[in-house]
Amino acid sequence: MSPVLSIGRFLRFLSALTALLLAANGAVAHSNALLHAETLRVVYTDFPPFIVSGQNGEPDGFSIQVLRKVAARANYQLTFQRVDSLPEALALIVAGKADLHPSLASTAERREIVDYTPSVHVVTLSLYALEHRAASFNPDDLTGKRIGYLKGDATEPTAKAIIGAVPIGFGTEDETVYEALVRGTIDLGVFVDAPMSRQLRLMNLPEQYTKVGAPLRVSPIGIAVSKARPDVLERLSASLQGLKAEAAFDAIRDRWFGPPDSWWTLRRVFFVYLSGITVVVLVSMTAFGRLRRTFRRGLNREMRLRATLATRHAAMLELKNTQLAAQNDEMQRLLQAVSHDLKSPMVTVRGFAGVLQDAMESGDQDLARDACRRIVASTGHLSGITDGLQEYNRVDQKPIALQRLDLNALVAEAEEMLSADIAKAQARIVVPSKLPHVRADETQLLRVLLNLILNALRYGCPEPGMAIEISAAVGVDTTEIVVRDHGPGIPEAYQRDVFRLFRRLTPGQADGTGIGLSVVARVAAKHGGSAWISSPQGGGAAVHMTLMNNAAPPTDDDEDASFEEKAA
Amino acid sequence: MNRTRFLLVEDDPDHAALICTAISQSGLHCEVEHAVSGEAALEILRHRTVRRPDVLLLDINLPGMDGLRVLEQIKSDHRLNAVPVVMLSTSSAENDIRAAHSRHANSYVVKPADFHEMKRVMQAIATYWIGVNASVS
Repeated sequence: MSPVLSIGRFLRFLSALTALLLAANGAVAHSNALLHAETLRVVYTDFPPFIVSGQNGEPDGFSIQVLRKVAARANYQLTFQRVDSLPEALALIVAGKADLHPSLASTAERREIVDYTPSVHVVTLSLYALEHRAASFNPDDLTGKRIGYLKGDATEPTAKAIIGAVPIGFGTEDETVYEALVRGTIDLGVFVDAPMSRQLRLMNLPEQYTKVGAPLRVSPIGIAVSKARPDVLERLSASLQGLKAEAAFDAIRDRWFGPPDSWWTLRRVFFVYLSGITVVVLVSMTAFGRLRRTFRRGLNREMRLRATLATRHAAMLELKNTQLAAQNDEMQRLLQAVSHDLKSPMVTVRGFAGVLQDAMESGDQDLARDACRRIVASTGHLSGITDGLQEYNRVDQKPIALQRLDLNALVAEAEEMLSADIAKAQARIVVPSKLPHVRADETQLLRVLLNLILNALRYGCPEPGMAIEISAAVGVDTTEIVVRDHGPGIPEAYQRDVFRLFRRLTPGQADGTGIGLSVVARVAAKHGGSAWISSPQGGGAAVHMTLMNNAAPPTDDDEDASFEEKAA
Repeated sequence: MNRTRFLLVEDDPDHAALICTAISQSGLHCEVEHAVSGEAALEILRHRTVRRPDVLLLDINLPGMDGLRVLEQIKSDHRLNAVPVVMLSTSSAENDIRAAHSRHANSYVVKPADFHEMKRVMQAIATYWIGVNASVS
């Protein structure tokens, strides 16, 4: 074997061994720590429910429970010793015969025991001495020192037990002891653990004072711990923090003092719920309000729309009603006229039929002949009335079909249709100037022209060679057509009458049922115009008729159209 | 005996002929004068001095001044209102009857279509008025 290799191998073995030894040492040390937990000697007094003497010398209570837990966590073992009073316990601690006394945690205070200020039952012994005297002061050597404390205070027995000090006197404030210290009446002052503010104030001592130190220190959990065991406070504090983190402290507290004030929880819950509900209600009210507003606005809009529609509909209905009423009136007039005008010829026919009967009996041939003649004439008149009625009805019922018509052509057509009558009367049609175009129903306008020309022939051309003039003039809205004759004319008194159905100026004479002009008037009305008669200069009669130039007139012709169309 | 003189105011020639025939064939001694308009009738009544009419047969349906107006004129004129006026009409409507009576028509006759009926009516009128006239004069 090479010498280099063997050294290397040996070195490696050595390092391994060292490591092993170190590890073992560590393990041993650790196991030592594990195996050998430290012992805490606890001295306690009765203070239920925090500290309660147990059956077999083992105490119980909230504080004991906490202590047990905290100690176990901090790797302490506990031994217990009972004494009668706190000062005794504290004296034992000071004498080094015990390590700690489990103090109080008042349930009246907050649960956070870290913030807990020890009550007056827990004593903080703080010794203060003037600095210039403190230079040589050994806090462990209290013999011969003048120590002051408040007489009658909780500190008195404790102070006596520990120090055998001189009582200062009475006062309710620690300031009494403080003043004595300042005045130099005493060397050391023992202070009751006051509220934090007082402690702070005391800690803010002027420079001549030093907090010397105390044989006892009070931990945040209120354990009075001997200073001889400095590690105890730290370890216990740490353990307590851990305990609190695990909520184990809360568990013990709950077990001893019940769960947190249910009333408080109830109140909190109630409050939370109430505010929750309030919020919900408010929100929903707002939302609902908004919804309602929107809805109502929508509703209002809808209602307004409906109202508008209803109004319009009502207006439409009103219009329709008016039209129907007018139609009704027209029909009434028609019926009236018909029944009235039928009576006359009926009387004649029946009357002369009777005359004929008598004449047949008596053999009066002339009378018989006359009677027959009159009968025939009257029945002819009757059928003329019915024919005229039919014609009028046709004009009335048929909806008009508007077209652009050339009047010249129409007049020419009428002239041709009546050529025989014109020839018989030996009259002539004259159109002085070119006639315009019109927008009208062809059939009806032709009928009108025929009627007017016929009338003119019958009543306006008594002598041969007379002229009938036809002219037309276009106005802004309407076109006016005039048919004029040079006959006897029509007296002004009758000029309106003549348009009435079946009205004839000279009944019994000339052909004609008296319907012509009423048809003219009706047609004019259907075209949005009207008809009238005038007596022009130069004699004769002129029949005027107007038609609307453009759109269809608002007559009952639109009855076929729906409301919506009309409303549009 | 004086013959009763009728003044028939009727524009329809057929009706006029019918009434005249009825009167003449009724077997009465009457005279009938025929006027074709209300104006003509009033003219006769106001200005005729001889052969004044005894009874007026007045048709309601007249051209120009209609029968009711003529009636009014006659009955409001103190010189004429003594003449009895018989209204003739084709209408049997209550309105027309009331209109005639309210204007103090002496009688209202609906033109009968039956000829024989017409003869009887004319007979009755003539008889009545002859009687009246007889008592008056």
